[in-house]
Amino acid sequence: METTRKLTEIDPQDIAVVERMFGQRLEATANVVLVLRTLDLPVDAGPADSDELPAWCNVLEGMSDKDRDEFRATLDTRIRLAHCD
Amino acid sequence: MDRCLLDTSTLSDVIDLPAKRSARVAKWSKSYLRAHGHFAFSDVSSYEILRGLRKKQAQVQEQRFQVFCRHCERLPVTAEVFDRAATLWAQGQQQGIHVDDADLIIAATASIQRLAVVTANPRHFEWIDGLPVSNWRDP
Repeated sequence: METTRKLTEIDPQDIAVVERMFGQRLEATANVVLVLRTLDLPVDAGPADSDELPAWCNVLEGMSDKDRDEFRATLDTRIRLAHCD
Repeated sequence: MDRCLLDTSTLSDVIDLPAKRSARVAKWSKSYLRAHGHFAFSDVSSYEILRGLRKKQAQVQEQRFQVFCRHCERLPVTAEVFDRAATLWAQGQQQGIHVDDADLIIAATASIQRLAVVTANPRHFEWIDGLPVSNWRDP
C-alpha cells in the first residue's frame, strides 16, 4: 500500500511525528510518501540465545539453487578501486 | 570467542545457512551470536551483497538483507580505514602480494576496530601482521 500526502494536508501534530521519523525539519513544499510493506520475516524473530539461529539470518530463502550459485558467483568479482597492469 | 568482523565470503555463508556447505558456519554463527549478540561486517561487504542481490533482481531477499543488517553492526569505510588500507597495500606490494581493495578495506577496518577477521579465504589476510584470522568453514 502506498499513499502520498502534501505536508500542507497533514495535521501539524502529525507533522511533528513525521519529522521525528525522518530526523529533520521538513520544508512546507515537501510531499510525504508512505509505503506499507509486510516483510515475511519478523524483525525480532528468534532470540540470540536460542539453539536455533534467528529467522532473520535466512536471507536467501526462496532463491533457487541456480540463483544462489549465480549470486555467489557475483561475490567472486571483487571491487577494484584502481587498475594496475 | 573474540569479537570478529565477517568478510564477504563468510557473510554470504551466514545469510544462506540452510545450505549444506554452511553446516559448520551455522555452528560457529550460533556460538558467536550467543556470545556477542550480533554480527559485524564492513559496509564494503554490505555493498558486495547488495549488488549481487540487485543483479539477480532478488527484491524479497534484498528486503530480508535490510532486516538482517538492522540486527548487525555495519562498520563504515572512513578516511582512517582508507589510510590504514593504503599502508597495508604498500606492505603487500613490498612482499609481492597483490590483494583486492575490498580485502584491504576489510582488513583495515578489522585492524582499527581490533577485531579478528572471519573469512573463507584465510590466505587473503594471513600475511598481515597482528591480524587474527579464522575460517568458520573449518571443523
